[in-house]
Amino acid sequence: MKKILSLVLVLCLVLSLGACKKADDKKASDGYEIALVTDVGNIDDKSFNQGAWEGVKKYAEDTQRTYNYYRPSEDSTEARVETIKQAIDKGAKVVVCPGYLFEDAIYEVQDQFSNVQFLLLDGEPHTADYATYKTAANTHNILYKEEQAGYLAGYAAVKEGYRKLGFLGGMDVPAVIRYGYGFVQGADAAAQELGVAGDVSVKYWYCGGFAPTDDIKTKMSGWYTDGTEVIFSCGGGIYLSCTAAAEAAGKKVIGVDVDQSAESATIITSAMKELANSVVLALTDLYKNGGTWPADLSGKTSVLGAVENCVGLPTATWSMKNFTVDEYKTLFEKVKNGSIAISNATDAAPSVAIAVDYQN
Amino acid sequence: MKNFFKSKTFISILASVLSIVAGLIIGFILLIVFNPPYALGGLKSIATAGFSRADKLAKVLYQAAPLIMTGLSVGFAFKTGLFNIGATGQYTVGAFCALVCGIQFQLPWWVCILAAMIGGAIWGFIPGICKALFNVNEVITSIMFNWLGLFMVNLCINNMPKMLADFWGASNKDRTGALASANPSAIIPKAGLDKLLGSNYMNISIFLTIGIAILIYVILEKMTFGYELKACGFNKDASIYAGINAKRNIVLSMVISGALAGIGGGIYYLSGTAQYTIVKSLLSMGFNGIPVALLGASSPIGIIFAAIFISYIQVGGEALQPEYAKEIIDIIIAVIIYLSAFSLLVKNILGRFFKGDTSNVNDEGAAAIKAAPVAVPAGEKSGESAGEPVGVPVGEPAGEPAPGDTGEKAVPVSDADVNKEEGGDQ
Amino acid sequence: MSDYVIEMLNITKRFPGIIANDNITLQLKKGEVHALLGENGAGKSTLMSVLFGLYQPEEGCIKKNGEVVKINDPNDANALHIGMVHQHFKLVECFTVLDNIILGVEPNKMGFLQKKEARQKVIDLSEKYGLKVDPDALIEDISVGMQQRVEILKMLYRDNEILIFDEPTAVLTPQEIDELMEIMRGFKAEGKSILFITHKLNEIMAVADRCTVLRKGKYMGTVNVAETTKEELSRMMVGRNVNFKVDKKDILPGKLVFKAEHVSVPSKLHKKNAVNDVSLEVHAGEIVCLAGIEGNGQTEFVQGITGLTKMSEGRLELLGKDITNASIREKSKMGMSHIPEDRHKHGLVLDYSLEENLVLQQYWEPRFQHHGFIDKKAVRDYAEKLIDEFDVRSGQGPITTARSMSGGNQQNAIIAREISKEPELLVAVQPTRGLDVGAIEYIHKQLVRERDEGKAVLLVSLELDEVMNVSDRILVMYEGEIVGEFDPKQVTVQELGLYMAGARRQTGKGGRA
Repeated sequence: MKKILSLVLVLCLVLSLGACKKADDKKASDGYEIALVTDVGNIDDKSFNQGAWEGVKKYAEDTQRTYNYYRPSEDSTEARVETIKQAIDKGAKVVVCPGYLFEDAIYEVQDQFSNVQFLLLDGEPHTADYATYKTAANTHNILYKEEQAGYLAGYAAVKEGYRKLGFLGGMDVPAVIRYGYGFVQGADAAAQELGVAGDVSVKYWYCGGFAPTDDIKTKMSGWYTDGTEVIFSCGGGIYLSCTAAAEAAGKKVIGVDVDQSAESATIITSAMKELANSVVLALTDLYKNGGTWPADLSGKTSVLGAVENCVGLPTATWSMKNFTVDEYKTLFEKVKNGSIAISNATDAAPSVAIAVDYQN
Repeated sequence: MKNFFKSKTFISILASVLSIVAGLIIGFILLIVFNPPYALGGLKSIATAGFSRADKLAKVLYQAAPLIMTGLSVGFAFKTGLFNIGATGQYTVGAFCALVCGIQFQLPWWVCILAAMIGGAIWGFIPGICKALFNVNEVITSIMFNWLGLFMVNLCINNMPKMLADFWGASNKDRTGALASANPSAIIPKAGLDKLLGSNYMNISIFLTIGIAILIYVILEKMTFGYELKACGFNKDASIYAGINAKRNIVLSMVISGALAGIGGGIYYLSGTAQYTIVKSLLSMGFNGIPVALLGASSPIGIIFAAIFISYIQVGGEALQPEYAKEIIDIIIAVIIYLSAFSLLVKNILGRFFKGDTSNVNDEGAAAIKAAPVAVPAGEKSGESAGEPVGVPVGEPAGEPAPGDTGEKAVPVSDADVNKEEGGDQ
Repeated sequence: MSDYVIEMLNITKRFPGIIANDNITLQLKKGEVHALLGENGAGKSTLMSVLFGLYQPEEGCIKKNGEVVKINDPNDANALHIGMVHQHFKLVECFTVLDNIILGVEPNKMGFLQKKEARQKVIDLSEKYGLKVDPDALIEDISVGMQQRVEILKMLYRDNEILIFDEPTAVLTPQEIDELMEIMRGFKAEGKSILFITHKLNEIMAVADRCTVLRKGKYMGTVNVAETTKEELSRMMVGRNVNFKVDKKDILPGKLVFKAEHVSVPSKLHKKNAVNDVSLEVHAGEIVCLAGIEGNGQTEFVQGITGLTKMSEGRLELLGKDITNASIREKSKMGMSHIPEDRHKHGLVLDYSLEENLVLQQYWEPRFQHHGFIDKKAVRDYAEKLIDEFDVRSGQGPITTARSMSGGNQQNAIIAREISKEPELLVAVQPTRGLDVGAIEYIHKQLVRERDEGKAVLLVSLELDEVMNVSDRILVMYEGEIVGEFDPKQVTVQELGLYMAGARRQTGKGGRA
């Protein structure tokens, strides 16, 4: 008897919950028009998934479109393909895929679903063996001008008063190299302006991975002990090793990709890609063109930077004292209008007046 | 027919079905709690998604194959009185050996699977030998070996440049190279099944694993070797008394159990779709072998169906997106699987309900779970002379607590007094 | 006021397909020792379960002091002051005696234990009935006899008036049995009523006032013990005349079959040897009996010679061949059969079917397997032959799970298996333990038959009746050594008892070795 009673109570509870919820589920029947498929993590990963999701959400809510996100069952291309298909099954017209992990997957689905539009962030579709690259007409890729973000960070660090800098890259892939060389160029420019080029030095190293390891931490601790004041930690989870070393040494770190200031008190600023902005921009263009990619985007790759407000430093969580937000804004405008030229070359190190110690 | 309804097989099947139903009901309640308007559709998609399309079916079979192997691994150990909680470690090491053969040494797929088998066997051998020689509980050793296996594999892969994806053209090195670019001959043949079902997931591994399950069935049920292994599992002392080398059999059980899990790891990563990712958490495929084995009542044939079922539920669960978040789906799937594993308990209850022979129902999980007190069972003769159904789930006579009672006998009077009634009937 | 403190009137309890209790009446007078006699499976346990409320009878009623009472669960029985000492004690090993006694009825103030009062009560009770129990001893440290007394104290502590003893003597030494009988008489004098479940006729004759006999679920009658005989009781219990005297013809021992020289086996319990320099010989056509009180090394000796534990010293010879280092399987092949002491632990794989158990020692022989595949038909045929020959009774024949068989038939199956191996030496350890009169008689016959067929039999027994009746030669073991060798025809039970208790020893006796 007690069991029946408790069951009834549970059902009542459940139904009342149901009644509360009903209100905001008005548009479910036709599925979800804009879909985000996460690479493997969740939409609160403080990285690509989250940035892209914020963009999707903002655009869809502003324009009253249905949207939702999907997470693959496992970390494999096949699972991502499967999840993209599921999103399409559920009515997706546009599928946003953040991260290079989707390169193979998009390659596979773009021709299968030619009436669905794909937006690939930070990658270009290719076969699993990298033999063939192809971006179909219903796909648009977005890459970022990492060198601009790196430049801003390097410039800010020197202006803030740091003289001994470090650059910790993940792997020497183009995106990371652009960040690094941009950082060096920015530091150089600031040093020359201040006339302290002789004092500023950069230690520069790719650790070879995107996962935190004790080796990285040891090496970073060494840098800090040698006098390095701030390190630009550029790649995935390696910032964890870097902030750990910084916390122990009482030194500073610069974050990457998104505003990482909440991760550690040692992070003074972050060289950001504004993923949300870029997603909103792309989706706006898409819908302006009636739901398909306009000719200048269709099958093409855009490289977005300061002009599109897709790179930058976080002004909302500004913590630097000597280098102010206003100074930053001035600098940003110069980058934006092209009066500051930043090289995006990745084949050779930029020639600069400051000392750069490239380590292996 | 009447006998069939009282048979152990029937009770086992019924128990599993009832547990599944119970799991689905609780799952449904959770669906209602998390997102009421979609609950019914959600339940429907759990129940039907797996067979709704050919490529979904392919996914079911793709996931079922390694599950069958880890289920067999755990179930085989149960049958022989061991609790192999180390299936996940053996699975990982098996996967590693397969990938090393496939990527580093560029060997064909069947050699890779043999390597996976050997790798898993070695990882089972060590807990086995510790148990046999030093009487170290295999649960503890194999849990430690799960982590040892995981980190050893991560360490090795990290230090084998040729194994990593970036060697084969990719930009990342947090995972092994895709077999498609590294060594297509290491991918398990698809035999046209991928075209038939329209999914890259599909290959012949499901048939391979079913074959292995049947082989295990034959070993356990038809061979002297299986007879010895089971005897050791049921009663080690009696098997020693019968001249069986119990220590050798413990080691062999763990070796075979490990080999089975190792093959599971091999076939999963040789499917060509999965890449081993360097993470710091144990792979769930190995642990999922435990509910598979419990649901399948440790019977190799039952395990085939249990694995397909659990895989089916997982595919069905994925279909709940996006109305339910992935995390919630994982909870719902886990609840269903968890309750399904209660089949052992249900079986005991059913056994009493049918007044049948409950003696054997606790064998498989006995190593794992101290289930409800197993009655000293009554004899049974086609319904004509059930003995005294002693061991009803009642407390102690005289209302005393039974602190010293280990729960195996709830007989109020002499246990030597168990029915001899049928003796009188004859 | 009724004469009877508890009456179970016309109790009928049916289970599907069987009537476990058929119109049974049991009336217990105040201040009497009432024996409940019956073979295994006669319905004693069902009747007691009814009394404790575990089962509700279909017919009949239970009266306490003449008034009908309803007993729905064991708590009701407890409230009626009915208590029971189980055959298998329900004690927490790592608790003290006192803790065990108060467990479940702990005296407390606001959740804090108040042991002082309880302790005094236990000490008082212990003194009153001469139980000599130390309330602070740990259960794991005290003897089985003492543990039983703790169980008794548990009943007394709860002020039980009706005390039920379930096969209380099965685990006791002869001396302890005598003491228990004395304790029971003390209870009787105090006006407590005792229900004494047993199938040992000697004990009934010694202590009981009246005896109720059950057979196959039916009520056979209640008799005054003073007016009956053992033979009469056993006829009521078994339904036929039971021959207590084992018939066996005199035959001369033949060739030497088994020789053990200077065997020592380390103890698992303490640092000393459990078996110390024991030598003995067993010849064809003789039953040599190792007698002694439990725990004097007999078990270890047998485990040592059969290979279940390692001997630290000694040499074994079977039919002239050295088998000291032979494996169990090799010994078995060479003609050693072993009926183990613990049939559940060693003798059977309880979860295997009867047929699988019947080939436990022989499944590997070519006749039962081909290339590793078991020949199920050969096993089935062999099992059916044995079941037939040895009259092993079970629910479903060869496919019955061993666990579901009665103790007697389990033992029967082991004996069938071991004897059918046609061994040269049969080692039988307490083969009749826990069995009823009919089964004991049968097993004795089998042992004698083996002997008559010229096999050597080494019997370990704790039952003096068995020792005297069955054996051709008696070796008494005390503290791991053989202290005397006797011809059963020329020795009395009393004399044996003195040797078993260590009060006497022959010098230079070592079993003819």
